[in-house]
Amino acid sequence: MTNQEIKVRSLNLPTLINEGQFRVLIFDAFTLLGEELGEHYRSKLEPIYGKNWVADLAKQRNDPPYNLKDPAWVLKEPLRNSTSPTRTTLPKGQGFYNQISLLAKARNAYFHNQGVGTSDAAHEVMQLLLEFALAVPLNFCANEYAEAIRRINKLNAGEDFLGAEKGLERIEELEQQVADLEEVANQNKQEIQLREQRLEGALDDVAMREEALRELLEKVGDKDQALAAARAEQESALKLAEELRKEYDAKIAELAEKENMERQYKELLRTLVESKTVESLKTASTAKNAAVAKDLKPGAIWTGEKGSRRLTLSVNFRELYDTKTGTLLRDTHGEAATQLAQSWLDIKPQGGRIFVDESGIATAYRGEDLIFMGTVGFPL
Amino acid sequence: MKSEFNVGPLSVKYMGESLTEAVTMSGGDPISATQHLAFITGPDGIALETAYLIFTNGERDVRVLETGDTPSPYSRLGHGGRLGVYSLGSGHYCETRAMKLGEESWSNLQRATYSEIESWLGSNVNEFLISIGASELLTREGLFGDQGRRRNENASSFDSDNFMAPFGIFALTRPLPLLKGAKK
Repeated sequence: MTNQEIKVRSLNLPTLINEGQFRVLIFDAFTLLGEELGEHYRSKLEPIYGKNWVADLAKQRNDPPYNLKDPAWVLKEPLRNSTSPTRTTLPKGQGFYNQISLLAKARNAYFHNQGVGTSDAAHEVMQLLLEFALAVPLNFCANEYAEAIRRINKLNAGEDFLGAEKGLERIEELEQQVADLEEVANQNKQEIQLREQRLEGALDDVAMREEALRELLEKVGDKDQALAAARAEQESALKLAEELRKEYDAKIAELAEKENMERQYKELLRTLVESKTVESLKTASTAKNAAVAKDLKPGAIWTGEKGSRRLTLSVNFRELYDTKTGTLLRDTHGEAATQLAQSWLDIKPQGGRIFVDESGIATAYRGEDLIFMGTVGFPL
Repeated sequence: MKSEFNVGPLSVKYMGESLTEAVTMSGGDPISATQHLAFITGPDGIALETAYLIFTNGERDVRVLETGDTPSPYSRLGHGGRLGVYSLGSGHYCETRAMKLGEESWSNLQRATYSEIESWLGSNVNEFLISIGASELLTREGLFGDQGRRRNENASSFDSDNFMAPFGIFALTRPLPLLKGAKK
């Protein structure tokens, strides 16, 4: 594993007793479990069942495509499917499957905003994860979970650590990952459109040749040379259509996996917002957005915190709307909202997501940089 | 012409027009088009920036330009499920094949019966179509005497300058069946 990968995979350890930081730790711990357990399955099963084993498994069961790194999938797959090949890579016994069941329930609770963000709860979840990681074994996870337990114990003993903004950084990283996945998905979509056009053309061709064949059969019976030629043409068209369908399906599966991951991150972000994690983290941070925004010109790099309210700056409509509800701001704030959209499109012509904090300070990503867009002059 | 209407639980709102360049459904290089824009929103996080493109070569279609945070399975409409709009005498028409979820939860356009569409809409389909300036739902054979292999596909026609009817039919046959869990 490279240093970069380790950096990405390392847990954000809490730096103080803070509900938001504990929640981020738990989310991250499950995400890490998904990554390493998924990789564990892949390394054991790919040599036996081939590269497409995950896609094939989903197809056999008529399920939507699976995401090998999804923390929900890596737990549910062996738990709910007694014939799952993943079971062959795991320890046996009722006790182990009880552990998986407990973890699946804990993941479900935290990812659906029902888990508690106390240090005791975080300690309990880390302990469960550690026991599971040791049993599989998942060495990287086990070390990280053990480190997290040590950190929680130290915090409970009154120790403080630097870096109160770490949880917020993690959320920003997640948002950047979503933005990157959206970008990749958009590129894939164009290619898929082209493949879909080709496939539909080929399927139309097959249908027309079938029709021609049927008419010919009616006219000349089954013994004519023309019929053999038409059959050959029809078979060739069918073969081409099948090849195009395979290519199309492969591309669709690739996109589905990315969209799956994108959806997972978005759900995670939504839960973090709903569970007040972001607000909680902000109370722990000392940065003051108003001070950062002072004298800053729109378009400049933003070094403060990013707001949790999300708007979409639409290039097509040249308007702003609430990303979550789809409500157009011009419907609630009139011409001022339209003018704001126009001025922001001057700064960010490609549009996209805008983050607004409680005092109306708006920021957006331009490439990897978070930039200051200005201040919303009306209450959102 | 209405600038805003509902299609069952979905809302369709006209957002103006602009000039653009895009690739037609039949492919090739991008060509100029006038695009009428509409915002289709609804439950389940549906927020689709949608366009009715009228190309300079006469081709027309309705497509989703941007899906934003719209979740799966609706996000599929960002790269598929375009609605072709075709010339019919002095007007235009489009078929009402619908997006239905397949075995792998991947949606594709499939034939949809009148009663299926009505069950998704929750009210009389023909009344809805007439309310947006379109004709009642007929087969292609019934609509213009088609005798080809697609003669049994349902379709609806409308005046060529009615740019809202295609949006209504798009909402009715794309996001609405997905919202209602329509299966192949």
